Amino acid sequence: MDSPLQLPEILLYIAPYLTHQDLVVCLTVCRQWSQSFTPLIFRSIIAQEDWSTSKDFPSLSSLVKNAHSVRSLTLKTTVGLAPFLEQCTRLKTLVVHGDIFSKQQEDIWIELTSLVRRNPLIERVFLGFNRQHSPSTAFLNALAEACPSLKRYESSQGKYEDQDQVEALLKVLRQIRSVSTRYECFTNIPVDTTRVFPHMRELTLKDAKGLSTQSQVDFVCHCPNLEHLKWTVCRDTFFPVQQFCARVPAACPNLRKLQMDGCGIPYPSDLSRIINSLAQLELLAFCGTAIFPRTFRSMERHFRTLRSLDMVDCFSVKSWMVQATLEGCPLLETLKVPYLVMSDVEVGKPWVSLRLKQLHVHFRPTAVCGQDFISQHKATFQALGRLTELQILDTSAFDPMGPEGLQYRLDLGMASLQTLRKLSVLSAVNTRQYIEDEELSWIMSHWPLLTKIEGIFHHDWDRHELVTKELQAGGIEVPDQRKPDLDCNITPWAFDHSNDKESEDEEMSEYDEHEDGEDNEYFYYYSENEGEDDEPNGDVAEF
Amino acid sequence: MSAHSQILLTSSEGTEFLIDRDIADKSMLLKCMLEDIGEIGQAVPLPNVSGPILTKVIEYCTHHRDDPNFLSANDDVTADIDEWDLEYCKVDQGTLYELILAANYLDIKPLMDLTCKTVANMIKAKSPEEIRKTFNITNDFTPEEEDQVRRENGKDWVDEH
Repeated sequence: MDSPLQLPEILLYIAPYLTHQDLVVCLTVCRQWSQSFTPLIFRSIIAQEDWSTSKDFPSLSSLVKNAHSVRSLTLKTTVGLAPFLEQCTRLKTLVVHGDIFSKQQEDIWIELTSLVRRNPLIERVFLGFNRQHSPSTAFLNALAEACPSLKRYESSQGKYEDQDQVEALLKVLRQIRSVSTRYECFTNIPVDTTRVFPHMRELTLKDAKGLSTQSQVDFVCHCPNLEHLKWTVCRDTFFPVQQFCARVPAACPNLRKLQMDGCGIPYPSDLSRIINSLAQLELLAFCGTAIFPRTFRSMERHFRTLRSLDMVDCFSVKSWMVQATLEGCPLLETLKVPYLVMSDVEVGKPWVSLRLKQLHVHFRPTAVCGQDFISQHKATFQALGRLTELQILDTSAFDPMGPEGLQYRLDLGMASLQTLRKLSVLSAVNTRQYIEDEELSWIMSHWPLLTKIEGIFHHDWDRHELVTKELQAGGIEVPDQRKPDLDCNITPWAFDHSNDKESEDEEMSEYDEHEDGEDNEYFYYYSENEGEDDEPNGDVAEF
Repeated sequence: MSAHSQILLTSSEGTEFLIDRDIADKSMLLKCMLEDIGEIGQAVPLPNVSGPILTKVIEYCTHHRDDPNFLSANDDVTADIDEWDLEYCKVDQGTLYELILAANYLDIKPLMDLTCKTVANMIKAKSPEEIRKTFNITNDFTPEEEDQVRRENGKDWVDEH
């Protein structure tokens, strides 16, 4: 029988499962393998500045010979590569790194323009600048005219000063699905926003300097088929809440995914106004902003449709909000939140988010030992055990000195997690664990797909190292941990849930007492962020 | 066509296998053939597949009979192999080779993915010499050629992906 490993079509089937290094090794096995695998090696090329002296890079003659196989090209230099670039005709992705523009003369754009003109199959272009440069008008025109398959244009730290250049950019944007502009300067450009971008599905607008928030809203509103918006206004401007709420929902009826940083949203209740204005969101991600009960209530409107919720880097996220999310979102697949008090799980209703694939939450017990400690753990493990789709479970704490977190112990009910047959990553950094032999062998035998486990597995460092070795021997990746300083880790402490409740009540009553409640929210927001917020105080006073 | 109709297959040595239609449909080759010409009531000859291998293939298709994601099951190249599939692939190399050829011939994509993934796992992190030894491959390069391939393509050239 002929070996299937000499058949090119079979080898092509195997290749996607191999890493690049493996493929390079395969080239030297025999002639047939060399022939079959060579085009794959050249699929993606990254030209570093030292390419000509680097031992790890193909020779120029080999590059020229195989240029027709290159689909993805990343250029950190073009010096000496002209004969190769001239032969590239089937690129799908072009990445150009910022340094190239400061180190090489401006005629780099002539070279890149003709490269684009030779590659009509280009689908994605990524350009990184350094606040000094920007693409030439000819380059942008080439993209718009010669690349009908272009879908994504990504540019960061560019500087757009010239009207012709912006015209050419808008021409590109009119035909693509996805654009990202980050930290870019649009100097004194009266951008004509009357035109429509009918194909735009995904838009990232981050810190677009020089474009008024009015123009930015105009731009968003001219993308009638927009589905995913990642938007952060510059730090020195306020988010155009009123305009957004009044115009965007009607102009972009398909908008289902919203990602925003807190910058520019001074009143937390503005966030609830924004969330309220949209219908049936599937993805919500915020960071650096406060989530108040009112904000959370507006999120509840989207619970039936929400698939992904990320508020791990938000302030004031309370345990009851997390529990309510898990009780109310049947379609949720990803949830990233700061913490959940285990007694809330115990007394709460059963979770309905049974499709969860990724869960990041630090579980906190309200007792350090005793009956409550045990029953809270049992209830939490049982609740987790129902999440049979779970692939990533991260119960890590952000703070190494924080409350101790969920303990993976069989006598506390960990066996309820035997239903998590799809679990591949378990993370429990900054939590206190006591993984004994029993737990270790349980872990090794109950989670067949486990590939990575992270944390300190035992109070006793020697024991931790032993567990690490055993897991690694079982083929499981265990990232290194730093040995904790024992002096500051003597007494474990439980999370005092009563404080959480009280502050929550106070907060709620403030809402009741004051008609608008916004001033309270406002001061609360800033006082809570003291020290973390690098916004100059002048801004606050000014407001 | 009734829901419970059955198909007769003949392996290379002439052994007959009676299988349910929905099992046969896992093979794109058989599915298309049966849709094109209908059930002719005669055995379908599979001259490229031996009896033991056909048994093994039927075992795979039967296990994944009600798998709703059958066609996209192994699409994720980074995903790990499912427990049952892992056990299924614990066979000698000759059988594994024949399974690949049978999956390719019968056009059963998930089985093709699974067996090729298994082979890939045997290639990973090995030297060229170790790979040749594992798969019994003869090095047909001249020393100069081998050296040239190495030189031209960079021995440990690492991609960032």
